[in-house]
Amino acid sequence: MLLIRCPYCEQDRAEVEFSYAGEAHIERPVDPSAFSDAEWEAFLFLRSNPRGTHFERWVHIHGCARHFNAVRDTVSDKFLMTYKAGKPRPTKREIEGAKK
Amino acid sequence: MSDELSIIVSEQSNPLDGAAFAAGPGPMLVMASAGDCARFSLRTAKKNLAKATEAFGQVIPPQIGEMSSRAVKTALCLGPDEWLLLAPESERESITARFAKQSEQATHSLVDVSHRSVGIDISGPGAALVLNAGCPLDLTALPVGGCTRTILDKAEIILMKPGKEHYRLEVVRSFADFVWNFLSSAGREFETESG
Repeated sequence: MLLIRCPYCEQDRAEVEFSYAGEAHIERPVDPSAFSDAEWEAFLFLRSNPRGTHFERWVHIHGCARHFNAVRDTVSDKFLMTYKAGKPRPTKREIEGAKK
Repeated sequence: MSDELSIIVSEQSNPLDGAAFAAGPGPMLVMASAGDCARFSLRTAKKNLAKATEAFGQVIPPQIGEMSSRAVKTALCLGPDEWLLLAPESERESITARFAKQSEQATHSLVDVSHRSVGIDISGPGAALVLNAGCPLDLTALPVGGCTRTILDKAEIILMKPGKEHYRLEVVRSFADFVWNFLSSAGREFETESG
């Protein structure tokens, strides 16, 4: 059973309580009408899809019902760390620190 | 404004009305449908909790997973800004009225969800085993007086632990039959072991 740490509940909980919610740190443009079609397409559809460290949103849907962000290694499927929504993207050093 | 609204009061019908189940020697497991009560979903900021406590007439805990229960009123903290309040049906209107009075000083949303879910009381030494047939939580780690929203097989439940071997769960009405049958069939394991 894969355990995910919810930063709001501050507990490791089973994966079945959670739901995936796409890539994290994608900001909705303030003025979409100023966007070209290509820029709008990029905002809507183009995602980084990296091999390795990925920043993504999860929601503790069958728990506290909050969205939060997670750093997951897409190769090993290991969660490196989770943090509350609205917090800035963690630095490499913070991720390394969380691994230990 | 509120004087002009007509309030529709419907009868609360419980799909598990009066249901009871026991299994195993001892018995290992006792399940009973909990009686009807008034339920409220409260959304507010933590700073308003003192006011909300005043209106509810019972301490509303600030930390996720905490439950405060005294006499017949229970308050559960489910999320950083979400609480579930349980009270006797007779107090439904007085609680709503007291919350409404303070809406200007303490912004909040209080929704009457009395008919949304039904309660099941589960107790006995086998209670945790039966719940773990469909619930991934480590129930030994859930403290007495704790609560959480979680999942039981395919149904979302709100789980409370009022005593060491006593659990109470709240399940949405439409899943009530499913959850009852799921738990009672898991409980039948105790019968086969004893025979």
